[in-house]
Amino acid sequence: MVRDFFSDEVRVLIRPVKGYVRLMEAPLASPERAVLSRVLLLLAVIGAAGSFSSAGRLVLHHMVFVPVGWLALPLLQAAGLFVSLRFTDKPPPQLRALELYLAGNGPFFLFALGLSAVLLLASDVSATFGWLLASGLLVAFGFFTMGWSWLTSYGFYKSCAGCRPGKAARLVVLEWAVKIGLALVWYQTINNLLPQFVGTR
Amino acid sequence: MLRLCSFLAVLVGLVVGTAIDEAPARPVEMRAGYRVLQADFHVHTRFSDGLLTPCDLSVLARRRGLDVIAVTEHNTVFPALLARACAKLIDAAPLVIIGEEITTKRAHVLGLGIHSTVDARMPLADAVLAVHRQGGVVIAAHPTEMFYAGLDPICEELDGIEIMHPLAFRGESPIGSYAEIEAFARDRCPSAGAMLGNSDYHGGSVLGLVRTFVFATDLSEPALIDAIREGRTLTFDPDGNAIGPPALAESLRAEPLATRDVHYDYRPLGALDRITRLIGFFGVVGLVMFGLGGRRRATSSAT
Repeated sequence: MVRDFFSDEVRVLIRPVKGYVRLMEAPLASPERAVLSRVLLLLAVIGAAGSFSSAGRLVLHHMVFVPVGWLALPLLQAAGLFVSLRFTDKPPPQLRALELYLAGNGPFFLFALGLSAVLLLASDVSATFGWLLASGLLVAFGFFTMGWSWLTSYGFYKSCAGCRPGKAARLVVLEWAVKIGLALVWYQTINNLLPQFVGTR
Repeated sequence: MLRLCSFLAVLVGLVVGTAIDEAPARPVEMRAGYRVLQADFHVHTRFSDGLLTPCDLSVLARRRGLDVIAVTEHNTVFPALLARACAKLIDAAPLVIIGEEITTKRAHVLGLGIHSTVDARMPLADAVLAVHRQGGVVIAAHPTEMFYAGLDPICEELDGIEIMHPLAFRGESPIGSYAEIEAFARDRCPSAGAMLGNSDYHGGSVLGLVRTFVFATDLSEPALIDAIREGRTLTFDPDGNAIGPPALAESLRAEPLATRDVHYDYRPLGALDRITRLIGFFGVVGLVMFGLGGRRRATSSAT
């Protein structure tokens, strides 16, 4: 028995397709507990990034409330996943699928921790961020994160839902369309879209 | 073992970080017969495009030495109401003014001191009227050239201009340049009353980086709204020059306010802070690297 050293998130981050194959092979004691721990990890990273960016350190108040404000993120992810799963031939059970899918959040963790590292380690944070923006590196990092998360989603559909490459790619597009669509519905509900982009009467 | 160490590191960072997270003293200071209050009247939340929740803002504002914030979410007052409710539970929280950034394609205006949402889909002149009917004031938010056409017709109805904005530090952004804001106040709408400086806060540490000094009769929403309506506000440009009524500026020049020790640059407060924030950071990195729990049974094929 070889003990897993790194988390599932890191394994999927490094090798999206093969990482998911390994996760599918490993038996799971409790899908509920696994989903909970993945969501908690996501919220902990978001809380830490929010706390570092506003206070420069971990502060209890931000570690509690920032994740509350970002609860919609795992909900959006779940919604996108469940819609896409309806179009797969061999979908895993829902909870199992969710915990596997959430193991693909590594790129977002990398982004959040990367920005936090700049805040904590740069000698001149403002100048460093200015340089990162001006050089395009920050934007490139954002696109890299997005692209890599598409790859992890692709790995999920290919390795865990038995999809062929073309279909796995289409399901990634569908999943993101659902997530973006739901976000747009939210912003329209709070009246943030039409007045701003279409104009007033 | 590594998971446990990571968890303990986060715990150490959290306990020490929370304990040393200080807020500067906010003494009551009177000038020119008024109480001088430091305010940021343009603050966003997670409800639209901000990072923090309404409940985080009071803690951050207290850390930044602000007496007052106005939560001005795009086209809704709900987050501001939530922020006010949360502030009641936080020790020494700043006063929260209910506001809304009425955000349209043609102009952005702040409605401050209102109690219900003003529908941004109505014509801007009607929206301004709706804010006034609720007893609030209307401020032109970051009036750059792209908003001139929308703001020109309501210039006479404005109670103030957001003359200082983080744009003054950056120079330019996708919405325009600081020079355009100055030109609006100087040439197009010189009659608009109060001169405000706001951070247009969406995230990061910069809440209150640009702020307004309000000369109010007391620390209450009606007193603040009255002060804005009567133009008793000052703000400062990046070079430290006062913008606002000369008499008020002179009162601060003659007797400067006590310095509120506020850092925007993430500078550690000392060696303990420096070490424990790194411990906390690497604890979070450890949680990501090694996971939160050993719920998956390893197989011989797992690497």
